[in-house]
Order: sequence, then C-alpha cells, then structure tokens
Amino acid sequence: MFKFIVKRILTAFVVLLVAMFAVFAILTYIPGSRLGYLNIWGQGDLLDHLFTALSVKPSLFTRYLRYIYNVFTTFHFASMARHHDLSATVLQRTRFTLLLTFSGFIFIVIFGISAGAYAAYKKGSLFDKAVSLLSMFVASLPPFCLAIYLAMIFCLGLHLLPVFGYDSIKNFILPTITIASASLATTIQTCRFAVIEELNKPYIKNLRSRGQKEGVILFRHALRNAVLPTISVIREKTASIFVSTFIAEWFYAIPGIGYYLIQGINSRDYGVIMASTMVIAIILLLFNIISEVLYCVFDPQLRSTQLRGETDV
Amino acid sequence: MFKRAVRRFVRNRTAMIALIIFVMMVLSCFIFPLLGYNDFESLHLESQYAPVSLRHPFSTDNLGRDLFTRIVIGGRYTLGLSFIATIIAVVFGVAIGTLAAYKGGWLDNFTSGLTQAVSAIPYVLTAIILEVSLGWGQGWFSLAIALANMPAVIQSVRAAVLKVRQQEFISAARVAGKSDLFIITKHVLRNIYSTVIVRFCSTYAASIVACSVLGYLEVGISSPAPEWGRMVADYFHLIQTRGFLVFIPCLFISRSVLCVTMISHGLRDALDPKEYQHE
Repeated sequence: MFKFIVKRILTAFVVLLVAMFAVFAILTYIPGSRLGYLNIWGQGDLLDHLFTALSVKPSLFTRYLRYIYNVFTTFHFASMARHHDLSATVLQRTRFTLLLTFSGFIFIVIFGISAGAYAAYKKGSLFDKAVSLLSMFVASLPPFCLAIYLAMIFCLGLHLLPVFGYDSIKNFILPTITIASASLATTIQTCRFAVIEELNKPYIKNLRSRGQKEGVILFRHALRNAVLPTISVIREKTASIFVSTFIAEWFYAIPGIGYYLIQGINSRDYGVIMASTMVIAIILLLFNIISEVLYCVFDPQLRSTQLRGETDV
Repeated sequence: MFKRAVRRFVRNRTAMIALIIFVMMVLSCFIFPLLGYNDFESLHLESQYAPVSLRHPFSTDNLGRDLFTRIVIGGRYTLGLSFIATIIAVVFGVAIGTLAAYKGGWLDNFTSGLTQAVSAIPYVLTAIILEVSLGWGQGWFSLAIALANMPAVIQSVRAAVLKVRQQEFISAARVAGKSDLFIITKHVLRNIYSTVIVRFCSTYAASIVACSVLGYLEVGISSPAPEWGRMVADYFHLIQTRGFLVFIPCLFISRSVLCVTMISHGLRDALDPKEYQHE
C-alpha cells in the first residue's frame, strides 16, 4: 500500500511539472509582454539588444527550472503587478477553495447516496419520480444559472440567506448547493441504479426471509455494495466540481483560488496565473490520489491487483 | 431499424416537446432578425427600460437596447458557437476514439492517458489558456469548448468500438482480407452510429453550458456581442432593481440546455431501447 501511494505521488509530481511547463511556455509566448513598453520608442529589437548586451536572456527551459526551483525551495511566488510575495495570499485563498470543495463533496456524498438509496428502495414512488426529475432539471442548468435562481429565491425573494461574504456558515449554504448541483444528479442516478440492482439479488431475499429489518438490509447490505460505483462516479466528476467551485467563488464573491486565477488573467499578472494554476493542479492531483486510495480501501479485488503494480484500472 | 427508431422517438412525448421548443428557438434566432429585430448595439438612452410592447417584447436594458433583439442575436452566438464546437469535438473525438480502440497497443494507451490528463484539467482553465495564448477570436473560442468536451466523446466512442471489435464479423472481414479502412468505415462506424448520435446531442448540451459559463466569466466574447452568458455578466449589477435583465438570458440558457438534454435522453431511449430498459 505504501509503495503504491509513493508511486502515485511521484507520478503526480511529474505530471505537475509537465503541466506547469506547458502553462509557463504559453505565458511566455503570448503577445503582450510586461516589458513591451520598452518598444514604444520605435526600436523594435531594443529588448533583444538589451538582453544580449547584458547577456541575461536565458532559454525558456532554464527560466522555467529557475522558477520551479525558487518556488520549491523558498516557497516564493513572484507577482508582477504587486511587488510582494504571493505565498501568503495564495495560502489564504486556498483555504477558502478547499473549504468550499470539501463542503460540496460532503453534500454530494451524504445527500446523493441517501437520496439515491431511498429512491431505489421506494422505486416507482412519488419520491423516486420527484428526485429523478428534480435532479435532472438541476443538473442541466449551468452552475451560474442555478446560482442566480438561488440568489433570486433565497436572497431577493425570501430574504433568508446572504449571497456574498464569507464570515458565517450561512454564507456557505448557497455556494455548497451550487457546487454540488452539477454532479448530484449523476450521483443519485448511479446510486439508485446500483441499489436497485443489489436489492434484486437473491441474498437480499434470503435476508428478508430470515426476518432481517428493512433498514439493516438497505443500509448495511445493499448500500455497502452499491457505494463503489457511486464513489467512482464522484471521482470522475472531480474536475467538474472544481469548475463549479470557481464559478461559485466568482458569483458569491468568495476570495478563493479560482477567483484569484480569473483576476490574474484579467490583469495579465503571470505570477498570479502561475501560482494559482499550480495550486489548482496540486489540489486536483491530490484529490485523484486520495480517491484512488479510497477506491482501493473499498474494493479488495482492486487492492490486490494494484498492489501487484498493475496500476491500469 | 432507422424508421423504427424515429417512430419510437416521435412517440416519446417529453422528447418531442423538447425538440419542438428547441427548433422554435433556433428558428426564431434566424427569423426575427430578418423582421427588423436586428439592432442589438446602438444606444437609445431616452428609451431606457421601455414598457413592454410589440417593438420591445422583453422591454429594454439600461442603455436602451431592445432585450428581445439581444436575446435573439445572442442565440446565434451561444447556440451557433457551441454547435460548431460540438461538430469539432465529435468529428475529432470519433476519429481519435475509433482509431485508438481499433488499433489498440501503444496508440490506445497514449490516447487514454492523454484524455485522462485533459479531462483532469478544469475546462475553464483549458479554455482560458487557449484564449489567452491564441488570441480572442470566435474560432478559437469554439476550439476551446471543443477541446473541453473531446475527452468524453473519445472515451465513449472508444468503449463502443471496443465492444464492436470483439464480435465475429470483424474477424471474418479481416480473414476475408478487407483493409482496415474498409472495416472501420463499413463495419465499425455503422455499428456505433447510435452512440455517436446520442453523444453528439449530450455534447451539444455540455457545449452550451461551457459557452455560457465562459461568457459569464467574461472570457472570450467581448462585451457588445450579446452572448447569453455574457449578457448575464453585463446586467448582473442590476439584479436587485431590474431582475428581469438577468433572469431572461438565464432562462434562455437553462431552457435550451434542458431541451437538448431531453432530446438526447429521447434519442438514447429510441436508438438503444434494449440497453436502457431499466430507466
């Protein structure tokens, strides 16, 4: 198990370096250099002359290595617009993003699995139909549309919940629903289908004939086997949950890392773009590793194949 | 086969209603501009928030521009750009997915690794990076959306092709000395067309979402263009006083996405009745 985790972390590190190199290279070659104003005086190649005269124009790869080295040794993200170290800001903003994502995940897991299991148990009932219809409707809305509807209902209409700010728990209710919405429907549907399939199996009939309580049958036996496909669906949805998190941050004015990235892009602050992309990539890769480990914990069959080193699932 | 699928689709009431509403929306995006609703950018500050009338069915915005015209023209942007994106995503996705699954080996491993990597990156990020690096044209905008949706297409096509490839008639064709190109076009593609059609529809829904999300985040399409998501962002500061300016574009986005989703569900049930009996 330990070996497997270490291997995964090393792979993730390589992926991170490659992805960051791609972003770095793109940011280097896009039109609109920070030093472009030097060209205003008409000497088109003034910059190049300057660089060669000072012999300070290193290659792209060297600069990238230097950047990465600086980041990893001193944890210092340089900003171009604001002349100070970004690491404190980045950390502070990451906290909000992590908080939001976690609450979204927890909402999806708790609500998705319980609603899915109950809908499967009451198959064909009004609850079942209402849940499938509502979840399909909500899932097909773009996250920001849902956010606007929620804001209109709960804030402008009912005056119940605030739509911006980040000081109390009330501020996080609407963002959590917005983040969860896109993946909730799939989770519910998968869980419902898996539980229905499980409930049709003979061992459930056997349990019933022995007089086992319905609650125990549903939660201890059927749901336990249905959790696995549900987890794998949630795992596939990780990236889209992050997209919803950015949108929720943008909409509810929560100063998270996605908000920071969009701000950085709008002000062309490459330091901010690099720092926030890196943090996002790290979080995503970490989530992947955690979910893979969880998957192994839940699925004994997979555990044995992965521990033998056949990582291709 | 095909006729029966069409009949099944027509009998599906929700899907038919969705199709009719969606076709009407698309048609109105092209008909109403011809009827004089085509001035979406000139300012008329004297007719700010005009009362609802035949000339201004949805009233006017804070700069006196007719909201209905902006919605109708904006439909061309949102629905049109995401349609182009869908075509790109499906054409390339089917080509790559089919080749990878049919050839197998290192090509397959490479493709599935690449799709996993791309699908792990949030599409807003991909789109933003593409936009920033390649310039701010509408073509690139479509390409960014297409790239965001391609992994899902590739994965589903790959799974379908893998299923077909195992069957006997493929090995029979191979034994008969047919070329790979012949087998792919005549046998493989013909057997996965239902997957492709359903995928096309669901990709279209995802593209509309992606397009409006990017518009909402103010990436890509610049302001006077009335892309629906962009309109939501533009009017957002008026949400407390003039809620309809935000609500109407929002309604059009969600309605079109919902319609396309319903159509794709209907198509799936019509084309593959055996596979989805349980739902």
